[in-house]
Amino acid sequence: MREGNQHPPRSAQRFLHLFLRRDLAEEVSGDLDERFSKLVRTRSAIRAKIDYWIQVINYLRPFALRKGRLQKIIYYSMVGSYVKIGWRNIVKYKAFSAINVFGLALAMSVCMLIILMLADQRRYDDFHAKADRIYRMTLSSNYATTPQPLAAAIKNNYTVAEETTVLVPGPAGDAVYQTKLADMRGYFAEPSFFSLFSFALEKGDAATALQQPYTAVISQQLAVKLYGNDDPIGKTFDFSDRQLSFPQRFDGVGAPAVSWGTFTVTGVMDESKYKSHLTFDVLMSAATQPSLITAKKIEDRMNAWDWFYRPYTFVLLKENKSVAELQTALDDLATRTYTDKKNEQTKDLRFIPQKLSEIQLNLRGNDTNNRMPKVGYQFLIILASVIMLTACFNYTNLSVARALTRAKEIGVRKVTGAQRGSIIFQFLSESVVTSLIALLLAAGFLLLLAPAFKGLWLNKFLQFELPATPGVYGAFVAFAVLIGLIAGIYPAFYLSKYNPVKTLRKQLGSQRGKLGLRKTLSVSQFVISLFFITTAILVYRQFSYFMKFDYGFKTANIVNVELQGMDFEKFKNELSAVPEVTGISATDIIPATGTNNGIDIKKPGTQDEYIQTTVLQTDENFLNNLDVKILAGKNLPPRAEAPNAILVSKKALEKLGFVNAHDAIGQTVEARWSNEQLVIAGVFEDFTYRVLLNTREASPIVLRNQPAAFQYANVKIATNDPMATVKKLEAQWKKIDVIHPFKYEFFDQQLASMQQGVLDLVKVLGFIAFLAIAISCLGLLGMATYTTERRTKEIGIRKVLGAEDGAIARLLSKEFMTMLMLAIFIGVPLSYFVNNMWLQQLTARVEFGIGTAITGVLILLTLGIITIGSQTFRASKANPVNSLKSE
Amino acid sequence: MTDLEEEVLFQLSRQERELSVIALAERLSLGMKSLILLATLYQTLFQLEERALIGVSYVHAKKRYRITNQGVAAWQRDWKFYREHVNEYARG
Repeated sequence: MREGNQHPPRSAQRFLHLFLRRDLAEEVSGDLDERFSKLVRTRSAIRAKIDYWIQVINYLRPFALRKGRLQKIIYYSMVGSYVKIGWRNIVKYKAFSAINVFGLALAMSVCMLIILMLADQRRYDDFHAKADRIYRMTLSSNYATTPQPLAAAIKNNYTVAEETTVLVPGPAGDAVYQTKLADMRGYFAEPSFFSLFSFALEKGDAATALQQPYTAVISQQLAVKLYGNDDPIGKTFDFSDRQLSFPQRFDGVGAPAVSWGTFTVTGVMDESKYKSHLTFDVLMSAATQPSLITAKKIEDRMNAWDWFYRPYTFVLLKENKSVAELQTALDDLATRTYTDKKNEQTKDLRFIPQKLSEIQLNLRGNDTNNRMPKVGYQFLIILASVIMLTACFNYTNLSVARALTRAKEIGVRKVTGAQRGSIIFQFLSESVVTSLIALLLAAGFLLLLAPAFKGLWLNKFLQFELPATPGVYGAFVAFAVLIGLIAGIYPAFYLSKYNPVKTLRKQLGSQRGKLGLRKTLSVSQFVISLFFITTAILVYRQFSYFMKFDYGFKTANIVNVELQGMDFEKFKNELSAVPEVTGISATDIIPATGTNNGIDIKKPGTQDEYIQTTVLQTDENFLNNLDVKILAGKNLPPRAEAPNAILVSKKALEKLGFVNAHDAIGQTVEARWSNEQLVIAGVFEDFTYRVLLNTREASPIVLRNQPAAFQYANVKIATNDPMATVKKLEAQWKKIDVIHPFKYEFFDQQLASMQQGVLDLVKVLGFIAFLAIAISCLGLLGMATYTTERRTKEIGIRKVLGAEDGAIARLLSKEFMTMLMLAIFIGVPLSYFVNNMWLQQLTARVEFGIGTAITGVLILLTLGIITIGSQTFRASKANPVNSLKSE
Repeated sequence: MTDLEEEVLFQLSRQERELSVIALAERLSLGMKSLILLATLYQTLFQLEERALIGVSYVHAKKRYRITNQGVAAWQRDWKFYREHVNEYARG
């Protein structure tokens, strides 16, 4: 079935038609397509595609090329000669070539890493046979989800869809078979799921697996966990839903377990075979939903058009239908459905189809898996482009600087009949050859870079695999050719415009001293380097600041244990047997780890606006355990004594309009939506609740005591051997829960891990800064070497006439030092301005400060002076006799 | 005459009907035991056509190639022709 959908690579077809003679186009295309189809049938699609490309590239020969300007410029018999001359020049000027190749290779390796990342993302969902016709319905408000009845409405009321299916995230809890337990997260799915997508079952029948209520298709991994090596088909498992986070997975969010009953396994799927934006442990039959709704285990949203936060809807277009027709149908459906324009949520809502192959690279709100948003790629591409540009500047600079050495060659070629176009082509050939050599070195760098990138903390979530497929190799070569053209374009045009008469009469000396472009490029390189150095320093300082940040509560020696539905009091009682435990409290959310709930409150009976607060469900020991000071009133009373009692933070108090903390005690506030009347029992000192990167200002906090919501126990321990105490805690846990594993984290480490993303940024920026300065210094080294070589005779005369070494070194360095100084004068304010733009977004931040600027400047100057000095010092120390006798 | 030209004429001379490029490429690949690139074959066919050693006709707008009398004569002059005869003689 898949073979029928294979078509020749479009990019190859486009490329072919770009250069092929028009009278051959139809004939050649037809033959290539015929050969492609045959290879798909007899070999494989990938083999056929590779063959197609090889065949197309092979048509790049004179007889097949379209007559045009290009052909007038390129004399094919000369191509070999150009490459040979290019190679000889590379070998002849080893130092300059090494600088060019090394600089280009450094920058190219970063760009190649990004190519690999993009190629990796392109592989998602490419295995579906009907991928070209599958679209996910999204909302104009950037949601990846749509109302649950949408799928049926499209299929039943319009003619565009061959098939539709809807996936509703639902089951997320514990599957138990005999004594074996496994976390299980997945979707309610319809039988049409398997006719739309190409997920195949290892066991079971895809056509019937999801037809009956209380049936499930499970992943291979889950099957092994529950049933070991036994055949899972026909076996059952008991499922208790805990509302674990799904499809995006964060630990810790959940609810007390609710039994959904017994399910029969009707299919097993090997999830490791598929690279898809849809990942799951289980697909439960959608036919189960009505029973669960009747039993009030889940809410009824099967026909809710105004609830669109969870279901993912997919449409398979009919073969003769276009996406425009689908959009028309969707617009019509939205207009008919959302006639009530007063509803704020659904007003102006539109359904937008998103092609399956474009899902992975276009992250939407509430999407199905963790991935880098487009802006992340844009950021990386900008960084890599800047670095690549600095490397190209080196090539341009050194090539233009060496113009005089090539002038005679150009003059001779022009006199013997070469046109300007062919000289341009010759120089471009050289730059492409250089770039291709750099590609080999860059591939070596990439071997080091790719594992380092994969080791970043962020990759635990993004899961880049960085595959090296034939397509990727092709992209690398194309990229190297492109870079060769970019790097060589200016020198090619610059060198080819020389007047042959002047070059042969050596009248080009008058052009000496015209360093405008070269200076500009060099200064730009150092401005970029300085910018990256200061930014890396700043981000590192920000990271250190985060790591030492005082949240306003104590985290040392506190172990946060995930309750996983266990009764907190029961666990608390068990822990009383562990002498190292000095305190224990309960909470629904661990502060400053990225999750929060909100409640809006105001003084009752007033016209005041509701104030938005963060609400934490804790017990009465929470504040004491975390060493948060109570400013007025008393601690939270037990729920049974005062169910409406709350504690408020100092910030919340201010926002509510109380001047004195003691005045607020016993006062009532009104909660929005629930209209509950809550009584303030006490006031506590502010602490930082939100993740530091998101913190704009101290957020107002409200504490309530609702034991049913408790998700964590905060266990304070006093011991010199924390791990031994944790073992004891685990032993106590096992006494009361033999099924769930003991899950814990040290609070301080938990908060530190929240900053790992910033540490990754430090690493990336540090590396980019290193590349920028390395490439710039290579360029500077090349320029300094060339300048000193060209002025050897001048230096000799000066020395003979009595100039001192120091004076000569200063003379030679003057030009470069001026460039460095200029770069500092531009770079420091630029860095200050740009970095302050993102710093201002943080409340908890370091200041740019003079220290950062001075450190950056010192690093730049030190490296710059060492680079320049190495050449100028050598030149000034040279014996003048040697330089003067050479001519 | 190049090896490929010679092989093309050889293959065409053995056919009673005209051959398309793809069919010819497959026979050549089998005969020469190596991959024949279509562009290479096209170029060779052009050159043979220019020398009137092969003729071209169109079937459904697609080219079909046949060997001409000139082509047969040229090929017969080639050493491969003699080798073929020697082999047949040896078998006979």
